Amino acid sequence: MSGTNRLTNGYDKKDSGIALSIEHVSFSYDTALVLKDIDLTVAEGEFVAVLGPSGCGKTSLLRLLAGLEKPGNGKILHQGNPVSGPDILRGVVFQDYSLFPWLNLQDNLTIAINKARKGLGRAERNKIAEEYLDLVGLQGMASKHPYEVSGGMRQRAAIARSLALGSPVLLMDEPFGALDPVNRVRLQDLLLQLCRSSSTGRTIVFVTHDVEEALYLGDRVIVLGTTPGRVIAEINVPFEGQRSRYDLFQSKEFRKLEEEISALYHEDIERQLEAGSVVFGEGELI
Amino acid sequence: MNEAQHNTAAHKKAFKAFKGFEGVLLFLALAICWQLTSTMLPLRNAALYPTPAVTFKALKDSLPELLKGTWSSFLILVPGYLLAVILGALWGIVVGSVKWIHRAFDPFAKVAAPIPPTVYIPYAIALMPTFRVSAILVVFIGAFWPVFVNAAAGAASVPLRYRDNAGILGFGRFEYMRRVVFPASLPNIFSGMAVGLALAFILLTVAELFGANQGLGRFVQYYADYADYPRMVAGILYTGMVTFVSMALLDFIKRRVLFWVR
Repeated sequence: MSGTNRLTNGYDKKDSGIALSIEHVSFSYDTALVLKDIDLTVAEGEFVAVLGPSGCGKTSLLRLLAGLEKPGNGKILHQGNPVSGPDILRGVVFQDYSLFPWLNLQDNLTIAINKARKGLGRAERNKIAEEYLDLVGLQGMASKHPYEVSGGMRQRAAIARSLALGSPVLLMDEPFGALDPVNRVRLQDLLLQLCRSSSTGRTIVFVTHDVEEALYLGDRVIVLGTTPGRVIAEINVPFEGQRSRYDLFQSKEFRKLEEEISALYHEDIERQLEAGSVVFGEGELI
Repeated sequence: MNEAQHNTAAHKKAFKAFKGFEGVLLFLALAICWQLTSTMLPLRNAALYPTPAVTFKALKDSLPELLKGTWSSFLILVPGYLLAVILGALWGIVVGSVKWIHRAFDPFAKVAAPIPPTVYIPYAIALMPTFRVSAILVVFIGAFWPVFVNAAAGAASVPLRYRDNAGILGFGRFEYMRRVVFPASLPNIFSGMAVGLALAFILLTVAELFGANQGLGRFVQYYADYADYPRMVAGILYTGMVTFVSMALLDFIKRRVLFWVR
């Protein structure tokens, strides 16, 4: 692609300092304590998967990182600077509403391009938008509106938008949660491919309730327990480099990790039952 | 019992044949009713209730006058309504999204909006230099409030997901208003515009009853004064059609603009 060098946005992966740090963060919604005393650091270029059941506050954690919510206690730093509100330094992909429905896919992207690189002409912005759409496999869809395309295509466009925004940190809130299994697999592979490519690679925090997804995508998996949400385990994922989905899911290490995580969940639930607190999921339990 | 079942099945079939034409059928039924009652009822003053044939002849004969009246009416309606839509939408968005302006303006709006705009007509006529300007003012006031109230409600309830996205894209205040609050409020603005247009027609014709020398409302009043009921009824039907076409046009524009609403 002729425009590959333009997709880098000046971001360079080789720097490996700390991108995000969460220090003693607690967060309450109304009177309910959602997150309790979270400590977490995310290195530059790292892919961290935050895994937890419904109601563990993983979405709240992501919103805090994005600056869309403010912590009750503790502080959140991005490259050493306190996070005081949303910023284009931290792009977000939501579950199914990252795009403005009144704009076509191209215009949804040009809004971001306009922010990332000021002073470009309209034709140039449109051309860059098309390059990003190509990158996520949406060739020729520029003039379609979000309601005209499938959920999978919307999420592709949402990823393209955050890439176009050029944010060094990408926060993803169950971005594939609403997709059918086939599209989910396709988009997971697309995301991995984009991460590995040096021109688009960046720091990612990816929230999910799917154990396989977390282990397949993440360099490191943070497991959250419920009521209140807190870190119950941190797992360094040992599968390096090119991962084949099939080999990975067959491997003993993978099965072992999966079982360990399930055991952690059960411990957490039993601990709560003993403590007498009610376990309340939104129709899903892991 | 079998026969009963057969009967209901037959009924269902008969109803199915009319599906989609119920509205046309009602018009037909009303026309037949009108024809029958106007020709067969022994009325004391038959002139008050013209037959369809007489009415349509009157409509045909006064068409040039009605068209001229329509032009005159639209010279009041269009400026007043457009001004109301533009200012009502803009001010509504500002009031709906800026908290301190909302606190300042909302109490006034709550008092002023429910005043029936017809009560302004005599004062407007006394205050303004010409009848046209006073009628434009009254149409403006009448259409302004529904547009404003709906725009403000829309702007105040912009879904969180759009606000989140605006924050992530680093929108400033003005950009947020223009690129997010305005399009997100458009469904509400169009609801307000429909109510406002209906009110604008009411106010237009009422104002014309007061002081116009031409126009749709004036036409009806004039022929009522001279007891020319066929022309008066023709004027009512014609005004109804003009209103209907205007509302249909607004609905057409709404569908085009709000293509993304699902």
